Amino acid sequence: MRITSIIIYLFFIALSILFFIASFWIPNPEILQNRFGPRLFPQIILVAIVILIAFLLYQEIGKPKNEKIPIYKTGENKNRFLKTIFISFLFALLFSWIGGIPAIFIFVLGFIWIWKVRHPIILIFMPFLVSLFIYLVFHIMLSVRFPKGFIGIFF
Amino acid sequence: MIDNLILGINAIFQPFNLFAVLLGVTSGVVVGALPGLSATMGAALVLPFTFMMEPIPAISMLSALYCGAIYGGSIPAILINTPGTPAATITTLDGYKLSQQGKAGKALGTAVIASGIGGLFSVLVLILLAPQVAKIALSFAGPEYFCLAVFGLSMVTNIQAGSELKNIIGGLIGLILVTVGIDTLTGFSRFTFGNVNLMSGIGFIPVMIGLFAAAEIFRLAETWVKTKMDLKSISDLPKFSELWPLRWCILRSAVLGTFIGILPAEGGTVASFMSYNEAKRWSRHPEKFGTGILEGIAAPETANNAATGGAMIPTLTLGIPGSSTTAVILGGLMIQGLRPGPLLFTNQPKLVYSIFIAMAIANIIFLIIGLYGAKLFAQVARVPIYILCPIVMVLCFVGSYALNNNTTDVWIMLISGIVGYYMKKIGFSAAPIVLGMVLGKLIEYSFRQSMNIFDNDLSIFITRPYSATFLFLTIISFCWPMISKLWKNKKINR
Repeated sequence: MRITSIIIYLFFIALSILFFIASFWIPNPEILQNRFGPRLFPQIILVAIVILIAFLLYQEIGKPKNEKIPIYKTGENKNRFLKTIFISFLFALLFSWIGGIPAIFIFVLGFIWIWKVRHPIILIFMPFLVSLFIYLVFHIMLSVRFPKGFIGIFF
Repeated sequence: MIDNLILGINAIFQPFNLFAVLLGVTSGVVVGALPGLSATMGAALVLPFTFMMEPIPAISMLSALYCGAIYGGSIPAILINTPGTPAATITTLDGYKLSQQGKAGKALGTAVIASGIGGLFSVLVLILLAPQVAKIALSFAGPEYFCLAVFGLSMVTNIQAGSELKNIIGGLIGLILVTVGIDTLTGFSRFTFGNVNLMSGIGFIPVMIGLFAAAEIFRLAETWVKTKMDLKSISDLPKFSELWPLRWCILRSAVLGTFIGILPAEGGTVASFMSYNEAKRWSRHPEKFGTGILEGIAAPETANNAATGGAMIPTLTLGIPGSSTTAVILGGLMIQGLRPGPLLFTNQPKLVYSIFIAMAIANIIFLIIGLYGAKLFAQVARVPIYILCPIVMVLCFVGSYALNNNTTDVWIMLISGIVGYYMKKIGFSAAPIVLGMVLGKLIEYSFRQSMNIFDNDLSIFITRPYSATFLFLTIISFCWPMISKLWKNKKINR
């Protein structure tokens, strides 16, 4: 967990530095030279973030190696967690590519398969019912226009 | 005020509006009864359904859901030792013990009655106090709003004890996220990296859905284990003679909960913990707390529901959310094209008073359905997680997409979910980020406007009475964790 914390802190510091550098590309016209322009506020915040996270990082490095942060248990279903992340990313990709409703069908099927559901009735009906519910409520009732994609064109 | 109240009652008693309240409470209790789904998550998931509604049913439904979910959280806390919402965590101590003793019905009955009384008390305070706060807030200008928003943000330090620094960093992350997009004062784009989709900024709703709902699904994917539930002893409700001795405990917790709810960022969780401690301190038999006594349920349950009305006061009068769930309600108001703040009371009295009445009715409805339908709602906690999680995840995707019909929001939600999951893992809370996002624009623009109007004179923040008061409160709020630590150490040394 200590390593995870250190990696996350370093990631946030790097991201903040990147944003700080990028903030110099925000235009600051002459008329705003003596005023608080659009650049100053994010720069102050970014500097504060870097300083505070650096302090957390310093504390984390100073901790004894075996000290555990009181958080929930991990590792028991690491595989399921990673697969859930994967199927979610796949959904976001398929959403525009094959269309909203077909992507939902595939996502639900993949999701329950990852969660070790093998009952054929659940495997068939659940993706169908969830897709139907979303189609009726969001598309028909709330007029949400889902991406059509190459399959979604039929919906 | 009476005229406005009648206006609100008339509006809420329209069949569709009443149906929206009923739907809100029922879905709130269901969401609360499902371990892993919080009130905030429920409100975020229901939000897309309100897009096409009129403002009154939309906001009434969200407010009713808030009340219902906070009560609903006590059901699994009592029956399976797993709080349905974070605000019900402390209820597990005595609730589950009573359940193990075969007194689940008494525990659930006490929880629903205490929650109902707490909720109704806070709505009464809301009706009496909110218009007065709004009147004062009408005189606020840029400096006051800046100091008030900074004070609101400073309250994040107390969201999670022992993680003050992490809470502040979370708030700052929220502030930086809202700077992405076009700066409305100058029209220049910031941190868009040439991406047209980011010009309108990072949406608060997708980030919130990601942080609260998707992150929770990822956590469940890793940590979920099966739990068993005993439903045999649910029908045995508490008698009047058992509830009467709890009257002072309930009243004290209602006052405490409402007050804590009013403080920006402090929600039902803090209220329930504090009132449990107070109940224990005032009790004649403090040693019995944690062994399964009704006081141990009445105190936190009254307080966490009392915090709902309290949290609506800063949300509606100042546009500063009193809790993370009210941040979603605030988002709901904005989606409806309404700006929360003192002007809402002048321009939309019908809506404001409808929300008050809706919350009062919500508390009465869950009191009835909680007393007579506890067994049914308890069954909800039995819904297999493999059925629940994909539905919630699909609603996360569709909800974030439906706001603008934009796939970028889907990606923002997903990335927020993953970031939120890892941040939670190392002890960060999602609430400060959301609060930072809600208050970010107000902080930046009111500061810049004040500086432009008052010629960069920083002294205006301490020379104006209200802004100076808020700054003073901000300093106290930031120093509070240190002060309380010193206080505790002094007590121990004595």
